[in-house]
Amino acid sequence: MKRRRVLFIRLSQFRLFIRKFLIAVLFVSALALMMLSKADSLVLEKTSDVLLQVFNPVIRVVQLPAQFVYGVYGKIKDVSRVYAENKKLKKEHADRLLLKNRLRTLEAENKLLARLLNYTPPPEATFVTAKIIAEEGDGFSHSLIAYVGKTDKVKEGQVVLGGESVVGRVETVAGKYVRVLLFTDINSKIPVIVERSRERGILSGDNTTVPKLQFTALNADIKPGDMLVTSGVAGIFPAGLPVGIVSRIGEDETEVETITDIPRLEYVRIVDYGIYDDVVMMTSENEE
Amino acid sequence: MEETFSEILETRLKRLLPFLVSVFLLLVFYVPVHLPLSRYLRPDIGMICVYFWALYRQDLFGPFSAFLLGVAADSLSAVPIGLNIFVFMFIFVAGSTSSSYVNMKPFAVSWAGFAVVSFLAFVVKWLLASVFYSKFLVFGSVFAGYLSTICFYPLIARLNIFIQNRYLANEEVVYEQG
Repeated sequence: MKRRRVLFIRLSQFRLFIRKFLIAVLFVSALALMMLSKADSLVLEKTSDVLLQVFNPVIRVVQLPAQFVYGVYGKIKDVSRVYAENKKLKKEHADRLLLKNRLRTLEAENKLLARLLNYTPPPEATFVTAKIIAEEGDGFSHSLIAYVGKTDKVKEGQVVLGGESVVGRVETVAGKYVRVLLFTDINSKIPVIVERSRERGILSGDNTTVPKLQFTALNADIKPGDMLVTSGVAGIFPAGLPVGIVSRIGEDETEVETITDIPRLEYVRIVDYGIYDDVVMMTSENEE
Repeated sequence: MEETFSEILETRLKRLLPFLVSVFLLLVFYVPVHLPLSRYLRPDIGMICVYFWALYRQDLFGPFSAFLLGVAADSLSAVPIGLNIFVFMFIFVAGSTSSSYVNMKPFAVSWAGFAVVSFLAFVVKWLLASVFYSKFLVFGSVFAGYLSTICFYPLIARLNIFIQNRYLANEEVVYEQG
């Protein structure tokens, strides 16, 4: 009887030891995975892609009720906005008709001048519209997951627009889904230029709602309200795409307000300007 | 009496229920709700689930479940892979060791316990992420996430209590101090 009790105690102690050992192993594995992801491990990237493909169909189903509720709420809100919006749109339409005529003249002039200079225009941009199915924006990362469907047009590094301004770039393509790294994320760095004064800088995300403009000249001519557009340096983003508006100039940092209301975004456009592939090709050629 | 296949399957599914419910809730909270500030005040549902099940049913939700939930959270998020796994393991260890003190006490005690444990977990997560990026993350937005996580604890805990009482009440409870 005593022997059985001793055996039982030993067995429970052994189980406890195994459990503690397993916990220690799992802790070490977590740290090892973090180190591997710092080293951009291909295996880890592929595994993450597979998991993304497994979970995202579930999110698409789960979001249906939420989408319905939001749709009803949105429709009620829209009705109250329609009258004011209609008035505004009529005025805008009249302005655009004038602009259209001017644009037609400029286009013709541009074609003529291009022919005179023997200028080869860049390939036209193509885009894919994608529905946002998941989002995150806490203190640790800012990203979106969007459904693109069956397409081979979407590639890593492509520009993502919300409305007419940049919201980020494609970080991962996993089958029918893409992960978009928002420009408010800490990993995002976009070379920008102040539209008015042509001052250059880098727009850095810091996981807050207001990214910061960095690496500008000490006496840079920047004012609140200035529009920031992509400078085209580094080759990922083409030049001239609106990114944000300078909202506050502090002693140490310049805060930038996003143009697009990111929390209200439902769809994004993933645009292929054809320049990222060239940059990748050039980089790989240089490495060889 | 021998168990039929459907009985065996039911028992297995029941034992997996805490983990499956946690994964489901994790996915639900990634759904965009398009409300102002909603995405910046998103609670860390994984932390709540891991703490709850480690506290009350560590026989059904072991360290490996916490690890796998972390893998799921990391694959959905843009954070470095391993960060959520580490934090969930931390919460699991804290929850299971405090189980004997918190069990059978009023709900407010487990809530207060979660407030302390999750604060430490957020600090650990913030430090690890800062080391990873070689730059201190803005603590304000991390703290906002912490506050919303605490506020959501009663809701998620009530849901988990319902699942426990409705489906898992007859399952054997084994508490081990790890």
